[in-house]
Amino acid sequence: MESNGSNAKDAKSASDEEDSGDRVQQKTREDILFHEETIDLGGDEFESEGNETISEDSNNFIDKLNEQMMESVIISDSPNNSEDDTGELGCLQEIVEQMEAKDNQKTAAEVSKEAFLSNESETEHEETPKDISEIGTDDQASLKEESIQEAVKEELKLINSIPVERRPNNIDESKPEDPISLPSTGKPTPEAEPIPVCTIFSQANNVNTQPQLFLHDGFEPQMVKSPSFSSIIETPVKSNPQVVQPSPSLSKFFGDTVNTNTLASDFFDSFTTSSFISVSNPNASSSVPEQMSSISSTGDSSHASPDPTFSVGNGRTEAGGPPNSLEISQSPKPFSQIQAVFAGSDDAFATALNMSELDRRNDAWLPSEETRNVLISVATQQYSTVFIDKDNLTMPGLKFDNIQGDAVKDLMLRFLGEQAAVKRQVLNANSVEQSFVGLKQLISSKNWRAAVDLCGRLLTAHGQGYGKSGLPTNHTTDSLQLWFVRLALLVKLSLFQNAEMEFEPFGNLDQPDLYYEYYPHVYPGRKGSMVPFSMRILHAELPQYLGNPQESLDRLHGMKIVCTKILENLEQGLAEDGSMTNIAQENRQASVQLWRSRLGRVMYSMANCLLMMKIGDIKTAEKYFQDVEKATHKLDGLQSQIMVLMNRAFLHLGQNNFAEAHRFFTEILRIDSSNAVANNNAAVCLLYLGKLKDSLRQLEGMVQQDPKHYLHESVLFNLTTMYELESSRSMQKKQALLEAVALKEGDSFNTQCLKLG
Amino acid sequence: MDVNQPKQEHLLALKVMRLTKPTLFTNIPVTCEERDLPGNLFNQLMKDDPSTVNGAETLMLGEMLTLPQNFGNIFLGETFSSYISVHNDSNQIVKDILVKADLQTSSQRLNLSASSAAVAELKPDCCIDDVIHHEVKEIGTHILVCAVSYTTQMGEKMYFRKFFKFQVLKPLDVKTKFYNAETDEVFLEAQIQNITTSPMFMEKVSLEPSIMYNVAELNTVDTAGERASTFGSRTHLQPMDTRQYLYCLKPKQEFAEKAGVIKGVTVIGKLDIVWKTNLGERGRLQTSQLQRMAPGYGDVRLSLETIPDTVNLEEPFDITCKITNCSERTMDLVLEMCNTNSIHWCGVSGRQLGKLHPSSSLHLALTLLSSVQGLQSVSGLRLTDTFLKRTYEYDDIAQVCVISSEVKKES
Repeated sequence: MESNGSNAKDAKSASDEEDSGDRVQQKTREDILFHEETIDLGGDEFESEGNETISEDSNNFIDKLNEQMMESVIISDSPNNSEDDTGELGCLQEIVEQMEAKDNQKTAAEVSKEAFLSNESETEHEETPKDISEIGTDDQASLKEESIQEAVKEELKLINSIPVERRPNNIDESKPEDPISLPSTGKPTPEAEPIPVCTIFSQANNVNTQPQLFLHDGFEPQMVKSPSFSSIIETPVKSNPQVVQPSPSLSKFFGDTVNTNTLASDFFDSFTTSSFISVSNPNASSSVPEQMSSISSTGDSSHASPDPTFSVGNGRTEAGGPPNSLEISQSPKPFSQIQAVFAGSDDAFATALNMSELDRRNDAWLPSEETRNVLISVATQQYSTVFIDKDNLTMPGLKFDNIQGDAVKDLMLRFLGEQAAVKRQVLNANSVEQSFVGLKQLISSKNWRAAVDLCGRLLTAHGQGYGKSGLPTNHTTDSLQLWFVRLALLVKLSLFQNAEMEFEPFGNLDQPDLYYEYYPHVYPGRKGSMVPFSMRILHAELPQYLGNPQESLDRLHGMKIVCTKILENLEQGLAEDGSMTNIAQENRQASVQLWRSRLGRVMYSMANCLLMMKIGDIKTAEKYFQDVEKATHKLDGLQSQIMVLMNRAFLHLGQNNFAEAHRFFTEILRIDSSNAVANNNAAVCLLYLGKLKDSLRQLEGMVQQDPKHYLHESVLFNLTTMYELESSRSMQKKQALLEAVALKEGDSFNTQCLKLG
Repeated sequence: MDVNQPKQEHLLALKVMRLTKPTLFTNIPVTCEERDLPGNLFNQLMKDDPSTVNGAETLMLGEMLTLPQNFGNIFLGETFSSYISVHNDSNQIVKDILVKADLQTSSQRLNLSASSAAVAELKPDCCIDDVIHHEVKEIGTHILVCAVSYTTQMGEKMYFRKFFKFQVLKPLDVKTKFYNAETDEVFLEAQIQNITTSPMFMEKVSLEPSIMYNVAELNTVDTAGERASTFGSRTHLQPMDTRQYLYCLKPKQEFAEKAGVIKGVTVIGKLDIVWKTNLGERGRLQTSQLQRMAPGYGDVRLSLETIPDTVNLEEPFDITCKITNCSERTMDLVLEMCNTNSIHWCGVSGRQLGKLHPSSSLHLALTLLSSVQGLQSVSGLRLTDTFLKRTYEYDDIAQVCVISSEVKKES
């Protein structure tokens, strides 16, 4: 399951090795490069030509291009992943060598011009900037590039992109002077000359058209800069007239590296961060087809192979629709065994009346017009055939069989050895009763992976197992509940793609066979949706986790409309679905209450959806917080006091005042020393104040105090991050955390926060 | 060149972490109802989770802060903060530790260390901490260079450095457009586009006018005494979204008077933009001085000072013109008034206006009437400079609505 991720890592480390293997070459290159002091040369040119107002249009456009380029680059912190290509490097070397030969006679401007021109020729066959993956796979040559050179080259590029409009003239001048240096001499590039800088990005053609585009709407691009930077750009300092003279500062900078940094790949160090992604999904879409073989065995062991009626059902759709009511009455039978385990089944006649009241209230839903027509025809033509297009039926099936596995145990095996790993005992799908009881047991012990697996087994028993997707089936209250639990757990485990895959056959949860009316023989007289409301919420929320919050909002709006309509119906004295049913006053009240709370739940989800867009509007936040403070002032309870302090702390955080924020978090701890949030947040503030050790002490103290409660993913993540920052021997401390986690957490624990991988 | 030279083991370890703003831990709320299969299990699990907000467990965003998870992006105008920690990994005391942090940009090198004093000694398992801040002022490659020097117990001087490279990107794209009004006012339209990948809250976008102008912001609408933003209540700017700001600039009286007209390229001012992103991460940028080309008025400018909106058919009305000499020489002007199909000038055509010095102006009251109803264009004024024998034509100076006098009486 984890193989995907680790493969990627392997690939990466392999490339690192190549880097170091290349060290000799690189070292010589470094020698040359540092001798030349290209960065400062650039600085000179920048100063002499950086007449900032003149070239705004094209400059801006270059920046734009730069931006696009950079976005593909910046994803990784790794110094090796740059957009530069082999060609450029070759050129640079050439320049450097040539420079030496000419005994540093050239002016700074010329140097960068050359670099620039050669870039031009080389980039012509270089269509797009390389992204990380490409570097890793197809272009080994580029891997050999040394990061330092990249840095230097980038300086060059930067320089090139500044004094744009002067460049063409300079090129003309420089060409006759040193024709040898340019690989591009064979290829004249007249078309690129007007604003040749842009050819760095191999988009010379656009350059000419783009400024016109800007002019077209009359808007003039403006250069933006940091307010305090004005002195540098606006008034070029010309007090630095030396030309190729290596600046002492830089030779000190880079010259020494040759001595101290023997490993070239060490040149750029990575910032202490880690690729912890709490919403990522390492297991998604892998491990799907592999488990196919195991299904049949699970299916057999727990239950007989699918009921023959299903194959009849299959034939039915092919034949075009013989009476479906016939099989419907039979099909749910094989599931009844499991159903019996489920407490609260509607079998007792005494409670039947009461139950139906509850059922109606809870199951109420408003189908779409089309679905409603189908349901009406099913109800009215019970004994004749109702033709339903296969497309309108819900035919779910497991899309992957087994996501079982205990990542904590895997890590223990890897880092703590077999002996320690043996001690790790968690429940799995086999160790519990194959029923709803066992399922609940797995959920409450936080073994959600096992629970997903058990849901799968129970669904397989119901004939909706692996590979059954697309085959006609029948739904029961329980099968849909199982689907809900399975999908909910997948979402909880951040396995969003898996959830999406299995949700797909359910469509928009409005197909006729998802309503009780569709099964008049199995559920006589029962009306409404078999799909639990919570499953609709889940369905609506899912797209936002997959990067489509707009779709989520749309779905939630749809749900909101139905909820409001149902409430409206109730207020008008009708039943939830708008029919003229007599409802006792207290039941009506209960129903209104239920649907209000459901509407509230939808609103919460909408708020979450909007929260996916993080906002930094302090002023509005401040206003809200003040309102809350006013409202809670009268309450004067401890709880409200904490809330007020917490809000104040966050306000200070928003204003970059970590010291004050820390003060408020600490104050909360004085009131409630076990407040996990305040504890953790105070520790985070301490780190931002430069007090790493204090911060660690606070977090460690908190975890030791009550590991059961505080060994939370977020706390652990902070703790491991600080361990990494603290020392190069963070591994042992992380492993200690792993041991602590192993005692407490189930298989659903997100091991990424331990940063052991 | 010894390639296989063993990598030197240092007693100290240097760790650097960029301190972007912490993020709030988000959990994935999954709820169910009492009657669903898991009963209250899901809800209970969420209640027990310390990262959820008490009483609002369904809210995705908790209050738990988490440290930055990756380097992230850094944009021009933002502040680069970094934690620098030097830790003694060895079991011996290390002396005279000096930690230096410099930032190398394409044009300069900055020292970012808070103090340059050496630390006398560092015990095993202790660390020297520093948090550096730097407001990023340049686009492109930046290299953070951290140098550590120290003396071992044996008296050996040790030294090592680490280099951290990062790219500074441009967060905003700003485009401007000027409109010159007849009245010397200048309207500035500025389009600000968020070219980052995350939403921005625009805290402030203002135009700082140059000394020649006063500015009025036209980005709020007064409704019932409350100034509502034209952008509505949505205060944030989504990635790639553009917002259009409008400003009206009026030349200050003294400049308008002194120079007669504002000619050529003038500096209008600059836009000052402050935004915030994640948890109040702040950024600020300014544009360079915005310049506009003042419209050319030729040698003589004729502008209208007063004119009625509506006049009666065939009834004379008065207008006041202002004639300004925009040239560098003195002019001797003659005014001619030519009737058009609808406009009839009253008074003598070909009258001498006298000498007009450069940058000076004179006011002229004229009387005319219209013989046609409807919206009529005031045209037909001719000024001739007798020195150069050059004639300037002024047509379509203004429009006036001509109505029948009977209609007016009725109303």
